[in-house]
Amino acid sequence: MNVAALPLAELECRLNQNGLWLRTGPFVSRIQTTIRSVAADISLLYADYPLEDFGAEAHAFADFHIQIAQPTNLRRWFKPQAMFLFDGASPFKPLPLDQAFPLLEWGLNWCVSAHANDLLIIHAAVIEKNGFAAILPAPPGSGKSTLCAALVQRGWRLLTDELALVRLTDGRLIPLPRPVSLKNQSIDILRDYAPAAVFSRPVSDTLKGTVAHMQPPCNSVARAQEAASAAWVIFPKYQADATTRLEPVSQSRTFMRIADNSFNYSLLGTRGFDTLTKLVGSCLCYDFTYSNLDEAVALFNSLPTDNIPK
Amino acid sequence: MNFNPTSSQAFMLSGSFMPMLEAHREWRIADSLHFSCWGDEYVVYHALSGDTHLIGKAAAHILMALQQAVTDTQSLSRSLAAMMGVRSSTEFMLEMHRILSDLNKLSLIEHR
Repeated sequence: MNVAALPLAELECRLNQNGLWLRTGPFVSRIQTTIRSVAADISLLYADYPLEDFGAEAHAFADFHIQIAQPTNLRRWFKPQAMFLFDGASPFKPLPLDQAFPLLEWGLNWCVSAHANDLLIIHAAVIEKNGFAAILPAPPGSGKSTLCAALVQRGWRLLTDELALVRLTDGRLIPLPRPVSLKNQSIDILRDYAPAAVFSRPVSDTLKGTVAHMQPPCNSVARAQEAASAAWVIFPKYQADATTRLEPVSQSRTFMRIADNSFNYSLLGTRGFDTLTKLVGSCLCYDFTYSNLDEAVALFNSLPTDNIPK
Repeated sequence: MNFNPTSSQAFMLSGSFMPMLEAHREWRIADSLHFSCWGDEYVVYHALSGDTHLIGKAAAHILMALQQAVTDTQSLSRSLAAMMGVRSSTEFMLEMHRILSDLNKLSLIEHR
């Protein structure tokens, strides 16, 4: 059963009581909240996601037990807030209530990046087409999510917008398709680029500026259990008025840059080194500069596949 | 021992301009190094420190040689010069000392 099968009232009821057991890629999150805007955004953006249907069972297994709650202090009367609870504890400071859904998304990212240490986790988007996946590692502000959102709106499969999960045993990429986080001008750019795409209400004045989330394509969610092999590592950089260009980067330098962009490379020790060696060794690596999304997508669609290392 | 390139007494007379004591000083490689190689660049992971380093062909050659056996500076120099197809000039020796010093600072090699 998918989230879409639940009428909003039923979804709110589950979230209020035992919780919603939501599967995203390899993880099941048990989410509880009484905040109605969070329920509405889950209904909108997670419509195609499968539920682990344990609604009546309070003790079924979940990887992450999450609550988005409202602090019961005096502030709730004049400046209401939302707080993220993980196993009943709050790892972050509360945020304004208006930011409750972004807080859930950031909290879910934290759950994975802080706990899933049986995988190599890279701060990167991953998209795939015809069996070939591209890893897009980049710091915030590089245009990674904008490019990723445009590509998945033009037929590429979304594996992740934020957390590339690399299996230690074989270096394959585990999908974790979740709503794509867009910031500031990127929100309107993507609305113009993909008018049929579904977006959450933009929330302003967050730590990242104005943020909105884009619903991932239904097909990407349906294929969330299909791992993919990496063929390219591409470091994207948006630069106003820049000509679209792709420049080779050596695999050794790519290795160092990915290690810098990884959440747990150091923690994994030799296994992290071996996994990253295998991953980089199987990829063609590039720096990519762009300013025009149509040109960027056309270039990705023409990436050669005949000289990818085995 | 500090290397002072302006002190002629510190050099051997064989034409290699290597500090005499340094020439026969032996080096050994740190435990638990792992290598990945792409072209002329190598990535080295030092499992004991958890550090990862990007190194060039010459430094990698030295580390590989030291993986085979404890070796002194002079032998390492000869081996590296042969691999690179160059004569052991003053400039070459200065570069050799720089690489050994860098590898030592990174705790990838140490004096025996």
